[in-house]
Amino acid sequence: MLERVRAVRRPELLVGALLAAAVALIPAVYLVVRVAEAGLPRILAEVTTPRVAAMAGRTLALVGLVWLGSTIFGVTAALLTTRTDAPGRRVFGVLLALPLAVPSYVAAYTWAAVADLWEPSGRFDGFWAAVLVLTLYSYPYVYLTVASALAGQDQGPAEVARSLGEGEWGVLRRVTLPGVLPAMASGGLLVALYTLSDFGAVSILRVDTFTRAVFTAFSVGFDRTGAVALASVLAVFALAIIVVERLARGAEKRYARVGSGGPRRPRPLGLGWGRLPAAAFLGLVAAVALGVPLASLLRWFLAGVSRPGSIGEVVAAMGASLGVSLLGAVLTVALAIPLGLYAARVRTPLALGLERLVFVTHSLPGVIIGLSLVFFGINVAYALYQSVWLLALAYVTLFLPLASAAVANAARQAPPSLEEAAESLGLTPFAALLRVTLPVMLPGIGAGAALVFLTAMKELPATLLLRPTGMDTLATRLWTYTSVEAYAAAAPYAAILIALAAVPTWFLATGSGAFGRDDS
Amino acid sequence: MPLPTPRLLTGAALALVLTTVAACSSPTATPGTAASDASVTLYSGRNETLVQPALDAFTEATGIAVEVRYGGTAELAAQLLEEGDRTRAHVFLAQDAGALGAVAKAGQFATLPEATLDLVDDAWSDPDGRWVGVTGRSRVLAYNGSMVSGDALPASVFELTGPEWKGKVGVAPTNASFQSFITAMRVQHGDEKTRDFLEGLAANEPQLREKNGVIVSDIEAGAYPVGLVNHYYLWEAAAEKGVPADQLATKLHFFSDGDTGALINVSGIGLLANQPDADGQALVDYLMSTAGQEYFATKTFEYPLVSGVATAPGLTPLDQLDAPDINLSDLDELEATITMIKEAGLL
Amino acid sequence: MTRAPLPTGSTTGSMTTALQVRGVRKSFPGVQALDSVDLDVRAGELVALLGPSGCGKTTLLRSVAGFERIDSGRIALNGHVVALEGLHLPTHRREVGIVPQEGALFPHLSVAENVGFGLARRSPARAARIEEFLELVGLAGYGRRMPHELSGGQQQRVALARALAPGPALVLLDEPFSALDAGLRTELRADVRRVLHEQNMTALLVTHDQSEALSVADRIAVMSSGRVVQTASPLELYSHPADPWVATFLGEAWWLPGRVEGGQLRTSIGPLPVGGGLGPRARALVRPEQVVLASDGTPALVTDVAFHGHDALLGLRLADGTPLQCRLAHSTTLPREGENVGVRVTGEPLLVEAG
Repeated sequence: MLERVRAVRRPELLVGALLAAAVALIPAVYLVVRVAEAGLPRILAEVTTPRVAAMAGRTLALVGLVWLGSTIFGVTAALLTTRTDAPGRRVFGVLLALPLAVPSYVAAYTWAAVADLWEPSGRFDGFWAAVLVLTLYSYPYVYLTVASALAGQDQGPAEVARSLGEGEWGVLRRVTLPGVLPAMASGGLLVALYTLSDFGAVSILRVDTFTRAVFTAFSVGFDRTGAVALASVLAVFALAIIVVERLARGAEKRYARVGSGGPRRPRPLGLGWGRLPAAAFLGLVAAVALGVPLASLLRWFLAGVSRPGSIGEVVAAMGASLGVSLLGAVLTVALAIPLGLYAARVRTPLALGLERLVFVTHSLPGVIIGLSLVFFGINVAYALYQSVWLLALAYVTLFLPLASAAVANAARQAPPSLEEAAESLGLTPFAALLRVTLPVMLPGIGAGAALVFLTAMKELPATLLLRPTGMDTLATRLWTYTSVEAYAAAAPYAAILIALAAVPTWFLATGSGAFGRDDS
Repeated sequence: MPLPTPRLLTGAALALVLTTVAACSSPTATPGTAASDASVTLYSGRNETLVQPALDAFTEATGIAVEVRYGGTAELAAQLLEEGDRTRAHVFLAQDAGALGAVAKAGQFATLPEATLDLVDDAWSDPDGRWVGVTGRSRVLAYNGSMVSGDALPASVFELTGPEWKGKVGVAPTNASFQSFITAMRVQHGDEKTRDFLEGLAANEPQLREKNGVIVSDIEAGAYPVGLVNHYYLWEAAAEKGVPADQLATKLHFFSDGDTGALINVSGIGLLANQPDADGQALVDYLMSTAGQEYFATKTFEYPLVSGVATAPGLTPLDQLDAPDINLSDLDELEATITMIKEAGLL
Repeated sequence: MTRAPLPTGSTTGSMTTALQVRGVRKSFPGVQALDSVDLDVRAGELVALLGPSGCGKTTLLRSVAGFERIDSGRIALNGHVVALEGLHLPTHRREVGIVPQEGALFPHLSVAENVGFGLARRSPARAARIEEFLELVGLAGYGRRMPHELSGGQQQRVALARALAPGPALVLLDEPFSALDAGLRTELRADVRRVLHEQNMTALLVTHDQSEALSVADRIAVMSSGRVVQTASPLELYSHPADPWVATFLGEAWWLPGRVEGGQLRTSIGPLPVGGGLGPRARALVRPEQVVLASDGTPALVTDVAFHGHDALLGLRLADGTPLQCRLAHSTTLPREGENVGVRVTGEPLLVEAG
């Protein structure tokens, strides 16, 4: 009856966490194998050139500026929609999350297309165009996390500050904002890593970043070595960003109190005459971010003659997109749960490191992820090769960090005392996990699944490489038509893609409870 | 009781996922499929809208089904190289010769029969017989007829580095066809002259675009007068606008006298070495047949490479073009070309 | 239920040892939390673990519950060993109930489901038992409510019912009242004590509040720096503390110096009986209740007055500078700060020290 004391704590979680990490690190293994093949001197020679240095500078500058823009706008918008009395903030609150549903390649295409409206040979491209587009369509990562944090923030410290004489703006600056610093950091991390990995926008807008160089290396010399070398640099950048984020965040509070009643709604900040300008500002951003793509798509559809092959083609693509994205979301969340829980319960450096490590591959371009899974499929799991399961596995690799962030957040809401109480009532640790911890974490897990689902819908390069032969998703159909300039045929696919991705985005925005259903 | 409901939901979600997945995933071809299935797996770097009708006609004519994997030529070549001999592809249809050369170099192609190779001129296929050209694509200078008159056009592509063309030339350096063109220049004129050309071009404020199609639509809109593209993009632009090609403001200027600017590149096809049966060969035969070649001539406006097949009306016939005398399989030495283009600052 | 119930030990009268802790040691990186702890809890007894923060009381509780593994020593429940060095019975197989500090009700389940969580799912008597225990804690009819709809005190009651319903061998309470406001605390304390006695439950209660321990427990184990310093009934502990630290932890106490003469310590405010072997000078520890106002007593300066309603605590300073306190019960007048009063000491000292 007595058991030996195990050296390893929560082994069932550890197994799950290691499995999740193993999947997420397949691309890293691929890079290491190929780098080893090419030999380190060759890789270093590829990487230590003036051109690469210039690219590094440009890429890091792009990442930095997009991060800055997203953080500034995301936090401002979150404050305006959750903490002030700006009119229409509930509606804007949800609308401002929707740019997340627009894939970056669609955004870039449609913005570039709009350029000729004010100038016949107008060009919308280059570094600053990319900064604008990437900021406008990835700020929701920061916006949603900060809005949710602001809504759930404990008002105790703020009330004390007020009693000590701080005015509203002082409270905001010295108490409220510092309180949401972890949320800002984690949202910012996602923005930074996403910008590193983005290929669609930078290729259309012609910015010479690492991902574009990786792609070019493939497309010109079938030179995997060059591509691999550059991708390795991306992974190093990502590691650096992750380390910086961790240092900036410092030690975080462990668990939320399971207290009685819900959080008291914070007092809205009165904006006075600034109410209308604030609302106008929010409305303008939402209108531009959502309006430009939709207007462009409409223009294309009306101006061009090509059309999708048939209704059946469209429906099949919809079904495929929904199916694989759902599968990917379920698998990703299933693996993110043990990973996040292991990091939350067993706070050893190994556990926390594992949770962060999976973010590294989030910075790699989709084509590398795709090829690494081809490598995996061919050499390790041939039966899965070119099946939906390998594609779903690619989605896990790509999107585990998104789910992991959501799960970690949810784990914080389920303190260990709940599991301990359940165990004292006779449940095994695993049963306590299933019957108590997971149900309590469900809203956070759902948010993670929604985020992975919508991002998987937008994914293109890995999907092209790994889909079952003959299967098309909305994204690949979009690609087929835009490749031959048949924009009118592409437009419906883009519109449907955005509409479908908007649904989980809407759920993310409303489900966070940030844009509450109360007073004006 | 709230407890069963999450379980119920999870079960329902799982069931939904599995049925959707089952419904969507198509059966994957395994190597060594029995001939009784009569199907062939094609990796096509050529776009679905351009190629699928020809494949459908093939299936109707022969009863052999074609499972097509569409993708970018470069990605598919990389994928084939990654897959090695465990690839499921039987045939590879590529947009350009360079990709075919890379796969051939890795030893993944089977040698094509003499009968197939004899259908085209030696210049349009691999000297070792590992791939054969299907259609020809000529490099041209597209120009806006109302912005530039015919006699102001350059006789040689090298003239485009001159001051009169400053800021007026559209090029797509990331495009494989431009890169093949530069490689051809290296083969024809040597590295030094090529480097001079590239640097001159880069210094001449070129209008850089990602895609040839964008250059043509820019020229049509009057953004700038000329651009280096492939010939068939004119028809592609016309099709999207819904008008006949001759109604566009954009016209085509073919370089002559063996100038590098007159390079003709090919889209080609190769058989992967692990052929279970003759179905792959049947596909090759079809695309090289009169029916296949006529399809490309009339629908994609490319040059049929098999002699005896007429080119599209309005298009200068192949034998009237004065292409440079270059072995296309030499164009797979792209690495050095890329480095050169990068160093000139165009990439 | 996923555990087999432990057969109960022999039940000869009330002298069964429900919990036996012997020589238990437990360390965390940088701190020895438990430094060879011994403790016995008899069946039906309510023992309080009392001590300042960091003394190890919570660690001991968690070790008994099975949430922590001990480094060495032995823990036995109802005569059956549950923890040894390197060996360990997991929590879900021990028959212990826990009432955590913040209640830890399962937020996604109703009150009735929380209470019934440890009961066999398909048992016919389940509903009745849930209702019985809800009634026991004064929440009859609250079954359908959700935890977030309850006040803090109500949540703690549900937590207690939930822990008791499966009939555990031992109930562990981890500072269960500290999250509540004062008035609620006293009321809930009394209720919990009543319920535990009615059910004849063996209970171990962790607290840092000495008045809580004194009013609720049958016996108190005072802990400091990972060791049990003294275990005794509240009365015994209060009037016969093992050392000055225990004395001052449980209530106010003051040193009175004096000369030793013939079995007495002559202090400036009166004599106190003492034993032998002390040498010429000594000092005695006395409680404020032993210091009384007397018109003919030694003069002392009132340095402050703390009125508590039911009594008052006067801060005093004697002529020789010795600080002191006097507890004034049911008096209609209070001296004021700066006044002089006469005081005398009565009763027996808590402790005596030579020198």
